[in-house]
Amino acid sequence: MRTYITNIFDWLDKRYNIKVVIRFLAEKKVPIYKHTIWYYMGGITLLFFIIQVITGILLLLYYRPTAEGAFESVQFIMTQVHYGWLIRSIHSWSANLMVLFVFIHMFSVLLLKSYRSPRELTWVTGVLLMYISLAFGFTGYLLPWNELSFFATKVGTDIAGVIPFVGEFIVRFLRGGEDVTGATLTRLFGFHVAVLPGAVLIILAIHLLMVQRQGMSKPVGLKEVKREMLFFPDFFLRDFLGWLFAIGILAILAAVFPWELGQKADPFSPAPEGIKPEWYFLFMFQTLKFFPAKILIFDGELVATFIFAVVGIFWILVPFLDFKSKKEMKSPIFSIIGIFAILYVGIITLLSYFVFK
Amino acid sequence: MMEEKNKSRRNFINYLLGGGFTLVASSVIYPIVRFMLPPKSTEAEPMAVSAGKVGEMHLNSGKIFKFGRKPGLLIYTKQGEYRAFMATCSHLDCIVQFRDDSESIWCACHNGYYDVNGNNVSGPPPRPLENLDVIIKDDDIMVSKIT
Amino acid sequence: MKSINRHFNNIYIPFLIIFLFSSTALYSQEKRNNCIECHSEFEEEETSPSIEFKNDIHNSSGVLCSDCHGGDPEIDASEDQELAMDPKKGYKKPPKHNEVPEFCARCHSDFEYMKKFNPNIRVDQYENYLTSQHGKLLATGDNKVANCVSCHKAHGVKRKTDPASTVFVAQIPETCSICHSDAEYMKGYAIPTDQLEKYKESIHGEYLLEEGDLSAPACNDCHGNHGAAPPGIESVHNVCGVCHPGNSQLFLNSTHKKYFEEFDFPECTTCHNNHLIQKLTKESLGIGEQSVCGICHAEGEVGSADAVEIKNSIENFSALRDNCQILSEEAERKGMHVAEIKYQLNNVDTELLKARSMVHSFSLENVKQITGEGTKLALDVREMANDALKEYQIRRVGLVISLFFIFIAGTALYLKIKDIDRRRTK
Ligand code: HEM
Ligand code: FES
Repeated sequence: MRTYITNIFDWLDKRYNIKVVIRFLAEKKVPIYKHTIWYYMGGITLLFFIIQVITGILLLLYYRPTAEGAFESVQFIMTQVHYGWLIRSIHSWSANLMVLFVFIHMFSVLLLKSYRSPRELTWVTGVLLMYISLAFGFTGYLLPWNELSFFATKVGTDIAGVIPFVGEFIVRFLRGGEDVTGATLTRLFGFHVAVLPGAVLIILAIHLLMVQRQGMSKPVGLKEVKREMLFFPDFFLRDFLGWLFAIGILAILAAVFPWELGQKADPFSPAPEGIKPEWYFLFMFQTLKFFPAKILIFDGELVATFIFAVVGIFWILVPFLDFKSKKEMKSPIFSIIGIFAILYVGIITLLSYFVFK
Repeated sequence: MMEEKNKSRRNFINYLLGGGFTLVASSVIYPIVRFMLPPKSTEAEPMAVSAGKVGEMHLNSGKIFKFGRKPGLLIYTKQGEYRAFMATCSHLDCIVQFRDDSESIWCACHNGYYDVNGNNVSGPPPRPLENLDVIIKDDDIMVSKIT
Repeated sequence: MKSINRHFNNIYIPFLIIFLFSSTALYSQEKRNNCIECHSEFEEEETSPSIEFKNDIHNSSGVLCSDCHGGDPEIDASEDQELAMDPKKGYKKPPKHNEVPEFCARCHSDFEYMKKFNPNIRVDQYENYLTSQHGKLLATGDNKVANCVSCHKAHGVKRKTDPASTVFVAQIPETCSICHSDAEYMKGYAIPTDQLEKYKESIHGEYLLEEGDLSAPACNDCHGNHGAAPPGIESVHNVCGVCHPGNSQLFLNSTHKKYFEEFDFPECTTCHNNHLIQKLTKESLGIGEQSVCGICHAEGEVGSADAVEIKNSIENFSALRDNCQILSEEAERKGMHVAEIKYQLNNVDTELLKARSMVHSFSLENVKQITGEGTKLALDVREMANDALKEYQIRRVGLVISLFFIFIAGTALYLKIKDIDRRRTK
């Protein structure tokens, strides 16, 4: 047995020189200090992403992306297919947990300033991954073709319409026509299962390669780390323990609170009360509402989308704008920006659940 | 002595690890495999159901059949045509029936009448019955939703 | 250039002529109704004829004041009022209360005239009216009873399909009640004045007035409109049978028909009431205090045993059905999928409806047959619901087992990590 494996290994090594990689990984170290825990967050995000891929492929065996058949096929999955309720429930819960952990991961690297030189591009790819995660959520929401998701998609795509010049085109592009119809469903389905996964795989591969190549960052001012652990197996095993824990939580959530299906969407019925986007869009949705209808001569919504765009671009450029941490100095401005962003997103999201309704 | 103890301890941990992960893996793989095996009923909402066989019904008669989760009404008109409708009355959801004496569809609950095209013609029903498509395939009368 | 101009003129001039003609025609038609012009100068209230008439169906059909009242609307009355309302020009004084039906009938009973407006129009209203209680009393010189305008209004007449009309289905109860609920006004007639109150409480009133089901009966659906009269005892089942043919037929074929006739009981309303028709409760069956069977069947008498059995059979079935619903709701609360259960429960409901309807055959055997079938169906539903609940248990157990596996693996991993750490520190 042993010899077989070494034989195969040698065979591969002769061709691809993989010993270098192994040696590199064997020497990789992770610093140990009070914030080490945040190094696990990217890994947990990765776990949820893998779960999404597996359960997503499984759902594809029975799902039908048409206005006539989508709702029924999901219903079928949940009632007729063995463990269909579980697979769908896991896909939905894990999607939400993934977005949650993308946020946790992102804000932790923001506050630890891990994005600073030389890891700028890790951050840039990371922000792109976050945007894609949100796009996953948006496109996936419509797929069961139920009342809530239908109208939320209608409202959501409507917002793009306020952008000057290209707004109308974007709305048409997203909807595949003037209105949210079966064409929209087929199109968003295409994004959800082909376009976005393709994009994620490429960007995620770059993201992970860069992380492996550069190793873990150390926070500003922590030049000399007293303790370190080997990436393999020490950190890897701990990562795994975290994964087990996450899988347990996911199993409990999916089994005890099975994801609901609701009523089939009826395009001709009036919008029901309480249509809301998914929770991770709420803070943007709510922000839009804060804007008055007119600001000076500009449309309020237009100003809001403009501000979103500016913030979105600023977010990508953070590593290049934070000059202080570049020079390994503390940069309180970006800590404040980070904390403000966390508080804003957190509070507005909670408020829109409990106060604004 | 110490070495011995450590070794057996390490062995135990490794076995536990192997066993534990095998169990976790199987409880992940089991539902996945069961999921992939095709279930008993193979269609979500049946696109088409067989409402009966040709020749079973005599002219000017009707029968109730199960269309997915709701009852449907198949009628064989005097002219020898098959027509099908959802059998729930548009008034208060009673189940309608065919009447050969008046050659129409009748709701016994409040005396509502529909003609053989499903149009409400008298009594309380506010709307026609929901129409279904009928196709004869071999000698099966197949009924499906109009899309 | 010139030829284009000529072409233009060729088209333009005929148009101009047509336009001028038609506008003068319109203008003169507007102008012709001097009655309204003059009357609206001193009539100010919403309900005064010259104002109300603007929205009247007669007005929009082109019927003029003078078509009913005579006179000459072409004469500008500000110049000569006498001449405009000259009896020689056919002018008549407004009809008295008892003259109204005939007054309207002049046109409304004349099919030759009426068919111009609608080839399918009815012209039998006056005839019907003469047979009505209203009409009969009017003939005896009673001027308190309703004539045409009491319900339809005199100058604000609207189509019965117009929701703002006083004779729109959902308005009818209020319209009748103007007189019939006025105890002072109805004094001297030996009939009650609480019909509207009772009707509003009734299932019919609830559907028509609250649910907006326009097919639910208003007063006229049972009493007739132009021929309004209380239905006679032996025609009650016909009246109710218009909409409830099943129950009415069952009653006719039952033993009770004969006895009800013997005792002069007013058929359906004996048990169901007339204006206050309500949903019956489970206490309505059997021979208890509130039961309707108990009105005739005292304990121990003929039929009382059957009455109790019928009650029990329906009650047991209904209890089983409720039990199914509770189980199904519990399963739904626990996140199970109950669409199929709910579908079958609907079928059980249909059976229950049938069983309740079958009571009108007053045959224990018939009722039992339906409750028997229904019970079989309901037992299936109960099993499905129980299966769903069992499935829920299975899911729970599955969850606990896999959590236990995760716990073992996690513990092992933890020990392994500790073990590696220990070796490192050594
Ligand atoms: C699909 C979503 C993502 C996955 C699967 C993912 C995965 C990972 C993994 C496994 C690591 C190494 C472990 C760690 O440091 O936590 C990592 C590191 C990192 N990620 Fe992500 N990530 C995702 C999204 C993001 C986002 C949204 C950002 C920021 C905008 C981001 C920025 C970073 C940075 C800067 C590092 C380096 C951290 C360091 O070296 O200390 N990632 N990512
Ligand atoms: S339910 Fe069919 S007529 Fe009332």
